[in-house]
Amino acid sequence: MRNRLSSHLFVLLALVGVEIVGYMAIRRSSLIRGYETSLIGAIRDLMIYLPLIVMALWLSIGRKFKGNWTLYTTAIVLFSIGLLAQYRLYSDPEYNAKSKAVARQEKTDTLRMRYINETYDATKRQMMGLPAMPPPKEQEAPVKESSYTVGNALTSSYTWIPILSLLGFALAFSFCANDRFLSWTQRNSFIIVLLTLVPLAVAIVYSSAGKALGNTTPWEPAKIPFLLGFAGLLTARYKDLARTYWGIPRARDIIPLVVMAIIPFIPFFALKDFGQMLIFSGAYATLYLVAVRRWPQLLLFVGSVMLVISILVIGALPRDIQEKVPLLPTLARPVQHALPSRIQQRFHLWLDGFDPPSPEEAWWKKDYDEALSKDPRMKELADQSEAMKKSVNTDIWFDKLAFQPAQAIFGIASGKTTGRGLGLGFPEVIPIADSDYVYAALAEELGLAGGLMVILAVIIFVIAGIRTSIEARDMFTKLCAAGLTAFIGVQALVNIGGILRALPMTGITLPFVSHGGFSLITSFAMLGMLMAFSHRNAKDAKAMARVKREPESDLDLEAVQ
Amino acid sequence: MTLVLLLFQTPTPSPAALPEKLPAWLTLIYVSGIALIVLLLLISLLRMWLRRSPSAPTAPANLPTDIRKRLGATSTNRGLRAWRWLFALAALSMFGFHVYWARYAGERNAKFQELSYKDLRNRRLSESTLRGWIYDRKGRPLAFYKKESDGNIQREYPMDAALAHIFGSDRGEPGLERALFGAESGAVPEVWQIIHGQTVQQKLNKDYTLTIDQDLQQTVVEQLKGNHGAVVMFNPQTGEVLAMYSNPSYSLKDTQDEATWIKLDNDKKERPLLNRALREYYVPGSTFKTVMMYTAFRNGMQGTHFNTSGGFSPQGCGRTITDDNGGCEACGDIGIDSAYQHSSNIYFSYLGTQLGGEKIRDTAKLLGLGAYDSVSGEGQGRREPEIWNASSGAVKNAIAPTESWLKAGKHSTRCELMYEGYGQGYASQMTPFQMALIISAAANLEGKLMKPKIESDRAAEMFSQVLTRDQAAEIRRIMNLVTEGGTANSAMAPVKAAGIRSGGKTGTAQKAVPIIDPKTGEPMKRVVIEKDPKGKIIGQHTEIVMADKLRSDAWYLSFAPLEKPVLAMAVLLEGPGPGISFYGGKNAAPIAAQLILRAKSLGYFGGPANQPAQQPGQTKGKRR
Repeated sequence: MRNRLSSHLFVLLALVGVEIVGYMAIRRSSLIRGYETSLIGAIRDLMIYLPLIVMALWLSIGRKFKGNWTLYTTAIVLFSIGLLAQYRLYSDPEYNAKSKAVARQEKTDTLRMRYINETYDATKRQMMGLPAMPPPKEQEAPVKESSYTVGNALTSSYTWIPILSLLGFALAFSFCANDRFLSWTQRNSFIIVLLTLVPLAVAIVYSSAGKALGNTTPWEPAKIPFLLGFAGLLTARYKDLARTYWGIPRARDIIPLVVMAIIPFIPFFALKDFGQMLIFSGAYATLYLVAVRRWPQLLLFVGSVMLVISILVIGALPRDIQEKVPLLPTLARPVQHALPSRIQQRFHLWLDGFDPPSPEEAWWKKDYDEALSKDPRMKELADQSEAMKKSVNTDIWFDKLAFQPAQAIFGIASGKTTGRGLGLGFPEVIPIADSDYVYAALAEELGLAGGLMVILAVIIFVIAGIRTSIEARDMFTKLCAAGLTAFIGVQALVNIGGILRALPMTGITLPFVSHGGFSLITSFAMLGMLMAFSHRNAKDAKAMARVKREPESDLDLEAVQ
Repeated sequence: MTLVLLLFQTPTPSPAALPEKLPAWLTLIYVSGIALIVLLLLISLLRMWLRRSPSAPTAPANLPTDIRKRLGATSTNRGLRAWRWLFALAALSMFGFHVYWARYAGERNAKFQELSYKDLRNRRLSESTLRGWIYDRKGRPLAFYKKESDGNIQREYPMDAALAHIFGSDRGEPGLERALFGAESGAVPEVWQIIHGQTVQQKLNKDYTLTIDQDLQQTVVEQLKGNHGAVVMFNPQTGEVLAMYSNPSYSLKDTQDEATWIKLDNDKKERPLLNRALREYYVPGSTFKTVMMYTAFRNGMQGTHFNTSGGFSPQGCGRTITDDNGGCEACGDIGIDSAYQHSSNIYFSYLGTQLGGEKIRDTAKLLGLGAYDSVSGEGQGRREPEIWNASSGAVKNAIAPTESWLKAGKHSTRCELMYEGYGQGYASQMTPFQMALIISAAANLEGKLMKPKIESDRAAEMFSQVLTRDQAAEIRRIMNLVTEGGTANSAMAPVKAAGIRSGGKTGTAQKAVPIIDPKTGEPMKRVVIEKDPKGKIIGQHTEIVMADKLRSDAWYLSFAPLEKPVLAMAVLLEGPGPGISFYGGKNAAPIAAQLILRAKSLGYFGGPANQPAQQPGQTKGKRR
C-alpha cells in the first residue's frame, strides 16, 4: 500500500464500512436485551468521519502534505474503536442511568420474559400467572426506546470534542509546519514552560483527587508546552551534556536541564495525577538518553530508576509481605509514611488485588470505618467474630476500592479469545468503562482478538512516529517527534498495563481510543505536530534530493552529526 | 394431566431461533475488518522501511560498507531504533498478560476462582436465566416461578419451610437449588461458540422430579410441630426418599435478607438452619439393637439365649446392665425375638459382647456406618456423599449426611461392647437418616440396602447386600412382634385397627446437653482453672456447662406393610428439656402410626386412594 492519499482514503472508507457493521451488531444485541440504541447517535458518530476525511483532503490538497499518512490512519483506527466502545456503553440504559438498579431490573426482566415465551408451555405459563399463549411477535412489549434526540446530539460533548480535536489538529499542524515558529519555540522554551505553570496553578486550586470539571483532566494539553520546553533546552545543550567527567556531566550543564525536567512534576504531583508523572518520566528519560547517548550515563540512569522503583515498591508492599524479609520493614517504613495514601492504595491493588488489606492499614482504615458507619447492620455483623470481620472486610473492599479493577479483570477473563460479542457482554458494570477502562470493555466484547488489534495499532503508530523522528534532520524536531511518540506510546502502555495488572493502575486514558474530555484534544494536537514534522521531513528530503542532483547549490541545511 | 406434566421436557431452543447469532457474526466481521486494515497499515510501514529514503542522512557511497554502516545512521537514530524495538517488546508482553487473564486465570488462579462470586456478571446471569422447576413424585410443583402483581418474577416455594433444608438458600451451605441450578459466568459462550449454536448450558434450565411425596411431607410437618426432631422415610425396595424433614425449620423467603439469615444462624437454642435429619448426632438407644440383630443373623448367632434374671454384669466392667425398669422387662431364658420385642437391654448387652467387635464392624459397614478403632481421629464426623444415588457430585454434596459411626473392631473391649449392644457408649453418634437406612435393610424383600435417591428418574441402585431373603423375612417377623405385645403395642393400635401389619423398634436414649443462657441464646460457658497436684494454678480453659439432668430423646423405627414393605422410616423426637422425658413408645411411635395411616389413605398399600388432596382432613392431637 503506497503512502498516497488515495490509498489511505480507501482505507478510511473501508473503516467506515467496518464501523457500520459494528454499529449494526450493537443495535441487534441491544434489541435482544430489551432496549433500543439511538439511531441518531449512530448517525452522529458516523458523520464524524466527514470532517476526518475533509481534514485529510485539506492536508493533501491544501497543504500539499508529503509526509507519512500512516500516522493519520492509525490514529483514526484507534479513534474508531473508541467510538464503537463509547456507543456501546452509552446506549446501555444501565451505564448512564441515575438509578442503576432499576435499569438492571428492566434488562433482567426482558431476558426472562423472552426465555419464558420461547420455552415454557401453556401449563407452566398458567401456573405462573401468565396468559397461556405467548403474545404474537407484533404485540410483544415494545422495547425501551432511546431518548436521544437530535438536540441532544447537537449539544453533546461527544459531538463537539471530536470537532474541537480536529481544530486542534489543524492548528498544531499549521504551527509546527512553520519553520519560524519552531525556531522561536526552541529559543524561548524556558518562558513557555513558565507560562504554562500559570493555568496549572489555577487548576491545582480548583481540582480534587486528580480530576476537575466533572470527571476530566483539563490540564492534559499542558503536556505539549512542557515537552517543547524540555526538547528545546536539550537541543541547545546536548553537545555540552555529552562531555562527561566519570559519567556525570558538568553541573553547569545538567542543572538547568534538571530544573526544566522537575518543573512539570510539581503541578502534576499537586494535582495527584501520578499517571502523567510516570509518562513524563518515561518520555524525558527517553529523550535524554537518545540525545546524549553515553553508555555510563545510560547505566547510571537505568540504575537509579531501578533503585527508585524498588524503593517505591518496597514501601508500598502490604505489611504481611514486608514482614517476610528481614530488615525490610525498617527500610520501608519511612518510605511508606512519605508515600501518599493513594499511591499505597494503587500498589496494593496492583500486587495483591484479590486480597483485601487488613482494616488496620492506615490508608484503608478511613474508608473501612466510613463504610461501616454508613451501614450499621454490617457493623453489627463485623463485631461478632474475627471470621465475620474478615468477610465483612472482603465485602467492603470489593464494593469500594477494588470494585473497578476487579470487575475489569472479570470482564477480561470472560471475554476469552473471541470475546462475548458486541453488546452481548457486560462491560457496563465497570465504572468509567468508556474512558479509563475502555481496554477492559473491548477485551470483554471483542476478546483477545480485539485487544491485539489495539496493541498492534499502538505499535504501528509508535513505529511511524519513531520513523518521523529518525528522518528528522535537525535535533529539535527529532527530539520533539520522539517525545510526542513516547508520550502516546507510553501512555497507551501504562493504561493497558494498569488494567491488566502488569503495572499499578493510574488515572490516565488510552490515547485516541478514550473519548473522554481533553484526552482526545491533546492526542489530536500531538498527532498534528507529528504530521507536521513528517511533512517537514519529506520536504527536506526532496530538497536534499535536489541538492544531490545540483551539488553547486548552497542551501544551508543544519545536518545532524 | 400429571402424566403430561411428567412427559413434557423443556425443549432446547433451535439454532434458528438464536438471535445472538447475528451480532456474533457481525462482531466477527468487524474484528476481521479491523485486522485487515491493521495489516494494510503494517504493509505500508514495511514498504517505507524497505524503500529507504534516499535523502536520509547517509554517508557518501564511496566509503567501505562497514564504515558506512557505522556512520550511516547517527547515534541518536540508533538510540531511537533501539527504543522502538524495546517498546514493541513491552507492548507485546502486555498482551501476554491479557492472554493470561483470558485463558489461564480461570483455571489456574485459585484466588481468582474463589472470588468469582463477586463478579457481577454471575449475578446477572443467574438473574436472567430461569432455573428449572422442581416437582414432587406426583408432578406437583415444589419450586417454580410466579409473576407477581408488581411484575416481578419470583421463585415460589409452595411448601416453604417444609422443604427448606432440602432446597437450601443462596447463603450458607448449598442445598438442592444451588446444586441443581448453580450458574457460573464461565458457562456463557464466546462469539466463536455462539456461531456454532451453543448457548448457556442446558442443564441450568432442566426440570427435575423428586421422589418426595408432598402429602406425606406435609403430614410429617404437622406431626412434628412444636418439637425438635426429624423424620426420614424411604421406600425400602427402591431407596426413594418419600419424606425428609427436620424441625424447627425456616422460611426460605426469610433468607433473602442478610440480617435475618445472620439471626437464624446465631440462634443457638433452636438452631433452625441445622438439618437434624442429616447432620445431627443422637444416641440411638434401643434402636441400635437392630444392628446387633442383623449381626447375629449374618453370623448364624440368632439362636443365642440368655437368662436375663439378675441382669448382665460382665467381668471387669464394674457395672450391671439392667432394663429400663431397673430389673428385667423380659425375664428368664429368652431368645432374640422376645428380647427384641420387649427391648431387653440385658440380652442385647450380652449379645454384643458375644458377637465381638469385628463381626459388628463388618455388618456396620454394610449398613453405611463408619466403624473405627478409636474414638478420636480423622474421618469421624465427615460427610458421606457417596451413599447417595444422584445425578451429580454437587447434588450428593448438597444433601450428604454426616457419617454415623461407632467404635467397633479388633480392639473393642468387652466393656465397650456391653454398652454398644443397647446403643449407648461408643455407638452414640447416629443420624436419623442412618437409622432409617438401617431399618430399610430388613424391610427390603431381598435383604438389600438400596442407595437412597431423591431424583425420580434415577434407576435404583444397591448399596450392599446385608441379609439373605429368608433372614430379612424372619427379622421382619420379629419386628412385627414389637407392635404385637411389644413396646409399641398400644401406640400401633390404630394401625392394626386399619388392618395394616407393620414392624418396628422403639428407642429411648439420654443425652447430655448444654445449658442455654437465656440472655445470649448461646450455650453457657465457664472458665475452668487447671491446677497441678500441688494446687498451683497451671492454666485455664473455657468449657461448656452441661445440664445436671440428661435430655431424653425418643426414637421409633418402622416399616409397613409387613408382607411387602413400601415404606420404612425413622422418627426422632428430641426431649423438650433436661428432666422431661420423651419415650419411644409413648411419643415417637404414635407419629409413625399417623404417617402409616396417611400413607394408607394416599393409596400406598394398594386399595383406593381416598384422599389425594393436599390438605389432610384429620388433625391428630398430641399423643403422649
